[in-house]
Amino acid sequence: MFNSSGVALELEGFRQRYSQSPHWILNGLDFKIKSGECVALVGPSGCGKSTLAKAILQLLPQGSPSEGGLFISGQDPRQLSQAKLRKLRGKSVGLIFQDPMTRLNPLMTVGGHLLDLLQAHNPTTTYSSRKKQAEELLERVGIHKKRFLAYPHEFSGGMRQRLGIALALALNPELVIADEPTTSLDMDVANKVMAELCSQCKEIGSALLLISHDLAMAGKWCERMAILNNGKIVEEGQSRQLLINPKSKTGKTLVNAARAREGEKTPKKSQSKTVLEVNCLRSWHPLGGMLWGAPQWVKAVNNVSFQLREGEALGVVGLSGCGKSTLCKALTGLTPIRGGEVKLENQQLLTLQSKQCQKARQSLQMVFQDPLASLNPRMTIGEAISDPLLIHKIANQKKAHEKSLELLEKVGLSPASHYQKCFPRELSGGQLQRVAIARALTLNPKVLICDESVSMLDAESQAEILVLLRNLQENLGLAILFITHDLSVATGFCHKIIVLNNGHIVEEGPGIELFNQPKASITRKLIESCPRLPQENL
Amino acid sequence: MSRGKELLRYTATRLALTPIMLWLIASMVFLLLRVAPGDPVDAVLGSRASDIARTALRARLGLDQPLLTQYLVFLKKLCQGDLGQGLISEEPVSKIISQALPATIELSLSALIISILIGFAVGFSGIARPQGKVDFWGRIYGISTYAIPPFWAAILIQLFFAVKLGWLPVGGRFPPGLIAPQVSGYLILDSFLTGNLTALQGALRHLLLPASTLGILLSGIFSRALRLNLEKTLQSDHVEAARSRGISERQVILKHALPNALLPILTILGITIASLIGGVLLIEITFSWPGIALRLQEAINQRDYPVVQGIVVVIASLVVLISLAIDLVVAAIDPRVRY
Repeated sequence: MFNSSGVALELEGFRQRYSQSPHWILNGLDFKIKSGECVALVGPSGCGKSTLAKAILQLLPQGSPSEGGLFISGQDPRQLSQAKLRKLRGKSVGLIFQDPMTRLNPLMTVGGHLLDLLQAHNPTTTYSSRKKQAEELLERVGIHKKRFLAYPHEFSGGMRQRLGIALALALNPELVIADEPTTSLDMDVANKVMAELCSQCKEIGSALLLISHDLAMAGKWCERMAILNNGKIVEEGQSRQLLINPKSKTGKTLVNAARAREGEKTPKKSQSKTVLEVNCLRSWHPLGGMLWGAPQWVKAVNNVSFQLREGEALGVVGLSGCGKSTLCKALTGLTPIRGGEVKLENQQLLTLQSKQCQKARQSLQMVFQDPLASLNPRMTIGEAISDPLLIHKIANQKKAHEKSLELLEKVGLSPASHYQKCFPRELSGGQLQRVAIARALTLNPKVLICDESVSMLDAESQAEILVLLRNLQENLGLAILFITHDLSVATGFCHKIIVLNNGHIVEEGPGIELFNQPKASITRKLIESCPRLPQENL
Repeated sequence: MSRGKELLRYTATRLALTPIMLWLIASMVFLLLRVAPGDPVDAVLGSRASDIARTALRARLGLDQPLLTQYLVFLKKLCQGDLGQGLISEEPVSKIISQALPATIELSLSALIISILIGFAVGFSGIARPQGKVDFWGRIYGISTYAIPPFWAAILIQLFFAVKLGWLPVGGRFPPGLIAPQVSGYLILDSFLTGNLTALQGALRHLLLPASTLGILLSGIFSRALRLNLEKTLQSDHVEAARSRGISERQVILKHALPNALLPILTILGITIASLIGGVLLIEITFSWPGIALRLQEAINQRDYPVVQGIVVVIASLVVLISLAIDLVVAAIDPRVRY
């Protein structure tokens, strides 16, 4: 039921902090969303975007103090009883989370989630009517009702997020908050999910608050945009206007970072010696079958060939499941290779004995997607960086300690002695990715594999990490295999790009050529789904 | 392959592997008994028996045969379901087991129920107010139950409730003056089936002390496991998402948090049941409970090879079947489990 004032959300000098912290995470927010409006809330990591989403629904830890006005459809959730607050959640406000996998009960079916929600809010209705409604909701977001009894783990990321949308919109709430709903999805799926979300919101007349760090995506789907920094709205206006001509310092920094990340030009190709040569590489996963009969395979990587030169960055782009990550794992020895050739500094990796292979692989290091998950939470940053040296018995404790200091300075974490003592949880996403790069550089590699290494970072951190990688590449002559689903990032960073689909290379060439004259349909799809910042003359 | 078929195939594979596991266990027990010092002939005849008598007994028991022959005979009989005869009592081992096993199962099952009831009550009350007084004492209780040696706890409980207060009998399984109902060997069940209330009361009074002692000692594992797993699950993302959808706190706990928190506890339950045999022994000795662990201990002391071998094979089969049952239950609850 929509309120008559026409305002879905209103914040007046709203302040919020956690009970343990003296600092206000949100510090005097003045913000309004009208019914049926689509507004994006953008800002750098840690600016308080997600805290706002949780504060609106009173999901922050008990005892977290807040001040100022907060009204959802004219009601202050802080003044409501538990029963009324429960009704407000779901009925007046629907929340869509970032990672759909962890946000769904793994033991509950897809239909079970919807039935559970409908029963909680309409306990008097019969089971059959609830089931019918749940099936309709699934169909509404493009999930066939036959999948009613499927479990979340049997769904792809995009399908799970569609279910997240169905759950948020099930009771036709006046306000839908989508907190980074597409961060964990590839461009094509993200595009489809956002199209679904916006059309559904429009259909039922819900206002949408899109929380994102991706300015181009936010600009594409929302007519109005607000920039949050240090707990305050620093700029607000029409999305297009704000992205073309930002007024605030934060706005300018974010837009510049987003433009730098998009990269207009493909860098020039270097003519140096080849460090990694991959010929007809095959990495197939066996499918479970009987002991007899022909084995069945998923050909995740099939006949992939490329060369990587010293100081060169080669982009590998493609949709989810195209074989990008299997390629990384195959090269680093984390998944078996069924055929082909991998030459690293003229050494045939596949024919080497295990000890020689281990030594050779020191020249090939990896930077993972999620820096927090890739670092041991119980190890200090210094220990994490020194660890490879100690494992390979290359240095003693003292030398490893000195090396970690040197590397921290090299990746821009200064003063190194301070960062060395920190634990991963104490650093931001961008700082953690710098640590991950430092750790990868410990063994003086010739090839660095970056598997979606910037996709989890905000635009500003992404641009900083890309600049760092470029500087390291120029200073150390590193060859970089840059795996990403974002063609625009790859275009600006890589000398050459290969487009993977179903384990095959379907197109290759300099990024700008692929962008201007895509030949393969999958490349066209990647370009179409890739949101770009608006240009002034367009 | 559908999930049902997948589960059926897994069950069949596990059941097909069971005889191999049992063969390995039986072979190991056979070998260990022969390697261990001591002679069963000494145990039967005493060390002063004449050489002729010793030789005759050795020949009668087949101990004069080469080890391989003895092993093959043992395996052949085992395959035919013949566990042999006890050296001392000269009773069939299967009969000895069928008399002692129900007593142990009755005690273990009762102890397990008590431990789950107490453990879950303590665990739940802790999670209701984390870091509160109840939670603090619940944790102390949990740690204490691991730390206290079972025999010492058993003696203390026996001294207090049976000797000092005289509320319950000191030991045994049934009042000496009464005739136990003979149906299945499970005295509580048999008393129900025959409608014999005096026998039921007598059996319950004897069961209460050993079962509660064992139950209390095991309850700490469950209270700690429930407390930790439920706390972790209640902080998980999907529980927060359920709350954000306006699901009531009761439903959040019962439908979303508890099933996920119970999964690891099911595995702990399987391990606990398997380890009960060791835990039961000390309780059976202290309370003179005529169970299988007590018989096993006697048989080991007496070098009664056939009884030891028979009991170990039967216990091993039970452990294998219980672990299979637990795996199947986990697979039925958790759709993510793949085989």
